[in-house]
Amino acid sequence: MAKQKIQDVDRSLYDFRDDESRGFYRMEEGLTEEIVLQISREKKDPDWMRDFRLKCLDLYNRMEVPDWGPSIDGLDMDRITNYVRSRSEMKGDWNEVPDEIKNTFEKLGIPQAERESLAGVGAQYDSELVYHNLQKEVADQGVIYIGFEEAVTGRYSDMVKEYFMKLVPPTDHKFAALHGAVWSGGSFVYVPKGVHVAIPLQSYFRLNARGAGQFEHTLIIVDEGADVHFIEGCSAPKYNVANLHAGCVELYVKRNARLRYSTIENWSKNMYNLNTKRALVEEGGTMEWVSGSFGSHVSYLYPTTILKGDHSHCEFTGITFAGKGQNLDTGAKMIHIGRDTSSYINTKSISKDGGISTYRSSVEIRSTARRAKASVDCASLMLDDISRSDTIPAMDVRTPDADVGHEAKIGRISDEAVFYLMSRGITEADARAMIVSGFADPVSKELPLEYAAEMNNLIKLEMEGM
Amino acid sequence: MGAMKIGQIPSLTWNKLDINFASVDNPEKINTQMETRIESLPEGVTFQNLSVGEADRWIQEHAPAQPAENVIAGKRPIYHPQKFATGLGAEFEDYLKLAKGGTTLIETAENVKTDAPVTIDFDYQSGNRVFTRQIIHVSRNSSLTLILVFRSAKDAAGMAGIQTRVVLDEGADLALAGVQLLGNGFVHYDDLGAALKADAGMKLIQLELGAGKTYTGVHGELSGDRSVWDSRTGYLGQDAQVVDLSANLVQRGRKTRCEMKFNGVLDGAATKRLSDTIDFRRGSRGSYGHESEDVLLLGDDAVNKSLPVILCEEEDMEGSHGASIGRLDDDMLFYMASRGIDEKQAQQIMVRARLSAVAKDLPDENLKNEIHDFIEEAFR
Repeated sequence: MAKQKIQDVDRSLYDFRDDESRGFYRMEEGLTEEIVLQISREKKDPDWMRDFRLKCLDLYNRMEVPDWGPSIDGLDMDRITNYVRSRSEMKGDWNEVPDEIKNTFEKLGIPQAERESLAGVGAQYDSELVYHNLQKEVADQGVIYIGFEEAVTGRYSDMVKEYFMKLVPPTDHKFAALHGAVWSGGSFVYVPKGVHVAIPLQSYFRLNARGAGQFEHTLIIVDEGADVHFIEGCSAPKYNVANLHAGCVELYVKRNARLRYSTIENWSKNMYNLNTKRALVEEGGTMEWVSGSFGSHVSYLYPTTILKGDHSHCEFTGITFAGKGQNLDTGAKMIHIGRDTSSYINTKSISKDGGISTYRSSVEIRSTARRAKASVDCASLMLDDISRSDTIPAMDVRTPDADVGHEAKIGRISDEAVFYLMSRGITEADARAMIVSGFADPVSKELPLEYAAEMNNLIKLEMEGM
Repeated sequence: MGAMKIGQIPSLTWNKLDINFASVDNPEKINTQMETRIESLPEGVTFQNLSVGEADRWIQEHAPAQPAENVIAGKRPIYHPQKFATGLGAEFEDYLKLAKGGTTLIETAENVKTDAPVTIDFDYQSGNRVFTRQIIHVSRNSSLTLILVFRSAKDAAGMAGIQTRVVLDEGADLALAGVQLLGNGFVHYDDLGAALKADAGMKLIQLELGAGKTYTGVHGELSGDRSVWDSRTGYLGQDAQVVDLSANLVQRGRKTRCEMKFNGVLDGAATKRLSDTIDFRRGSRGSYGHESEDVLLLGDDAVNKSLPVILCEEEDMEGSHGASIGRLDDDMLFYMASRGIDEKQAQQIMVRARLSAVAKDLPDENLKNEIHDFIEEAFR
């Protein structure tokens, strides 16, 4: 039987590094009260935030790592630097950003994407935002898109205090508590009632420093009847020591509002990606997640949607590609509380070269969620016999008039399909490439490739016969 | 004894969902010894009693070797190394050490094809807290049909437990049925482990229709090439009944086939957990595994938890799962109403239809009628 060879995602684009010895401020490794207080001072936190950080540190020290999922034994928190920043202040003009950082984002295609197809851009380099800009016409609509520190200390501080880590409380799990203690950077977005933002906003996270952690906080509030698309991209160069990403995303979708949140994650393969994302959707609201997971050494990533309001709806579309040395545990959680709520999860995963891909999900239909409908469709493709692919979907249904469907499939490229295509004059290599592209297509067509040049390099599956 | 974890899934997920295992607080002490009596056996089938030590030695000598596994690639330790795994797991095995009495060994000679089923009736009295152990061995190119029926008076209370270890030699076939018609005051444990050698086939029918609390655990090892597993489970949960089902099928041999179907009805405030796992091991080339579940929810306060898992480290296989959980279809209710059948009657028809679909292959018409009457009585 012929074997196919499918290339890894080409990462050479992301593997350049900047010299850390020049112009960077780096805190000591490890996590102590003194380090947390130092971060708090750096950020000029209000008192409530400083106290909150200390409470989170205490929680973090008392909580256990999960007893399920991939091993994170290789992550030694005493060797992670929790705060690294460039000596440059955040800029609103691209020309003022220091050259070495500017070059990084130029290589990743961010300014080009901003010019061509984005309404606003935030670029975070290590622990701090280095650039932030919002198009004037979008700002004139009343849309707020600012760095998270500015939101905490500035005129929106009351709003931030009301929402910050309420959806993902630090008691949720150990790495949520860690995030609460050392968060730095991120974005705050508010879209006023009835405002439709026609073109997407984007945040790009780049972790350059060796052995560092990135803990950005993203808070988006889409007010009643408003509509916005937010794109998040992440990358890092590869080092031989562990890096950590424990960001937190809290999304509030108000009555009849719509939010699409797209993520292209391409962290390097020394990254522990322990990220938490959660959305709360009110009556008639719609939440759409599009998630591509390509990088990281270990990932725990399960965007959660709480369908609180009646008639609220969520769709999750995700793709995970686990190659050599990767253990990617990804999926989604849906919690139906309101009546007539509906959700749809559609995921694809591909495992090759010894990579481990796990699809993990939960669908909870609470007793209040009368006539709720939920559907899950997950498919996995095994490309060789040294990899691993697991599917662990949980369902908890507590109302009799719910309608819950679930389908999972796992398999390999079928010889019959290859044979059929070859009988139509297509070469074997092209036939296999077509089948893999076809497998990923329902998800990849949802990815906002046209918005950021960087993403064009992500699903580059070069196929050749062997 | 404190809380006992049983029926743990081989790969854990979020603890908050309370779905990884069943927890039995202070399991009852075992107070009675029950001897299995079988009045007549077909030619070529024998029956003997072994001590616990003799039974374990028998298993060691006859069962295909199972590697003691602590870790699945990249995962945390999940399997408890056991010489011969059964579905309810290591803590249940410890609990069983408290039970007195031996193990019944039922075995066939080689090349014996039995037509008539062997039925073993377990009739429990109120206050019985009994545990029975058995080994079923079907030798090379033989076949056996065995039906186990668990009964008590409707208002009786107690504990009825059974552990069955099955070894199927090359080309052997076993049809094993367990029909549970216990009173609501009973706790029922059914712990099954099976190992299949090359070309062996196991057909399992489980009907869990009574008992206030039911815990069943199945662990199947498709060790031999071309071995086949086909199981159908039907259950009925009413009032505050607890139904806990776990099944873990490990496909090791080449071209093995596994099909698991679960069909259930939950009424009142019944609670059900099902964790069913298909585990394709490296080397199980050309294998196929499918699990499906259909749950009819009738009760406003019923709780249905399902965890259908597929674990896979083999490229050349095909695994799938499908689940449908919900109420009766509106179109069907409308159709039935147009034929003069009201919603309550329609429900009864559908409940009977679902559970009868599981019972239909039982080779015992009297037992099928008894099952029918039990369901009718339950919905009266």
